[in-house]
Amino acid sequence: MNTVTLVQSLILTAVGMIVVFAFMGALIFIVHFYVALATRFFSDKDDGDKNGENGSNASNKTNDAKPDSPEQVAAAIAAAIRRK
Amino acid sequence: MIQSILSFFADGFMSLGWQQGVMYLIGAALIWLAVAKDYEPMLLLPIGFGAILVNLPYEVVWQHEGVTGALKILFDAGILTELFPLLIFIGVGAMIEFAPLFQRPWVMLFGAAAHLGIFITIIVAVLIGFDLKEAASIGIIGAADGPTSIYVTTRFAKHLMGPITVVAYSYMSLVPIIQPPVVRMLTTKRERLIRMDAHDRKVPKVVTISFPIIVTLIASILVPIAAPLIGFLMFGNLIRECGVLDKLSLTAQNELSNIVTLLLGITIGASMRASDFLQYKTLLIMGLGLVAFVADTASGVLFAKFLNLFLRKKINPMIGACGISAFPMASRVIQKMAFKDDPSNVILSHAVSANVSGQLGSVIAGGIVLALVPVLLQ
Repeated sequence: MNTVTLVQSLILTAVGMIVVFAFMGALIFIVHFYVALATRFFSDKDDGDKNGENGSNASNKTNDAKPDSPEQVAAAIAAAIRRK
Repeated sequence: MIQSILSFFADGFMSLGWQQGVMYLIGAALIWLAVAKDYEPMLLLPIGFGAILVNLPYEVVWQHEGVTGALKILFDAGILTELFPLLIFIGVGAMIEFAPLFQRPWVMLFGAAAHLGIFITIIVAVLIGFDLKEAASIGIIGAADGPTSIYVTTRFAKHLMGPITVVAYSYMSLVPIIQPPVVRMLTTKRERLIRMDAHDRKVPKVVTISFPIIVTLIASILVPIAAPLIGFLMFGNLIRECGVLDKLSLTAQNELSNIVTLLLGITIGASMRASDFLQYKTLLIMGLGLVAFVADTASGVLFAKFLNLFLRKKINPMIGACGISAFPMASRVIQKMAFKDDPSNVILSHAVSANVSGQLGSVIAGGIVLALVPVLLQ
């Protein structure tokens, strides 16, 4: 074992975790206030037309349903686990 | 004449040693795990077959008599250039929906805490005798994120590519076996019974569309070297969320991901030449991979328990274990554990949120390791 390398790994751990927490902290702050502001000023008016779907861009779309969202996956998983 | 012909056919047998035999067994074992046990079959099966291919006589698929083989061409073009993992990130990004994070942004703390396992593993690897670059590549197994592991290993320890990738994907598929005992050991039944209220609100489309752009900017300013990792991931997510590129989104999620995964798997397998793979280091990496997953789970759970010291409304500490990148496996495992203690306790919304934040955290952790290791070695 090399003592210098060990010290480097400890520094890496300390700085690494500080930066990860700083990033996540910044993101929590931004997301929290951004969602609040967006909900107040940009709330979606009509879910049925939320993608602005019309004839001009329909060629770029498929008829396939969008893959399940994590919330839907979560609900499905919960139901499946319950059934077991 | 006859002797020459016989010698021509005998050469293949003569060039085989016990090492090649062991690699065939390892390759067959990986294929068996993929087929019989359904352990990450999309990766382990091509890796297993690639391991057999590259250990055939004269390693013709790699390099023979000065001619570069097909798998070496793929390795040089897709792995050494970091292209394959980045392309997979587009597909992964297109598969992730960050909406659960917008419901409860505070769970992103678990996406940070659970990655302490990466750094603990790096320290243990250094204590065992690996150098810092090798240790960093091994530690990233704890990101529970295959492409990030490959990306970091390509930069720091190409010679360990085979063992690290195999170990990373193997343990990812073993999350349902690894996590429950660790969580049970660190929590009381009373803690596991804590209920979590979930009141989901509707989030405007503008948030989901701008989120990948904001994350790319913040992450790339904070850790510039992470720009390719986070950029490709968020590009995939933007394609998904923009709402006008459904065809591209589906292509990224299916065709692109499948084609690159196929090539990536067999190419990684081709890096498992007997001379590189059959070393005591491979066994150590297997042990360290387990350390990484256990430490990830433990740090997430312990962090939740730490937060509970200050919170009036307690968090179910099992949610901390979902801060890793293995989605949706970790959240499924934790919900299953919650149901075991109380069949009416649904914590899945919070678990999924933590799990999604773990996907983000793993890329950031990978970027930080990539940025800091060269600085520390200067």
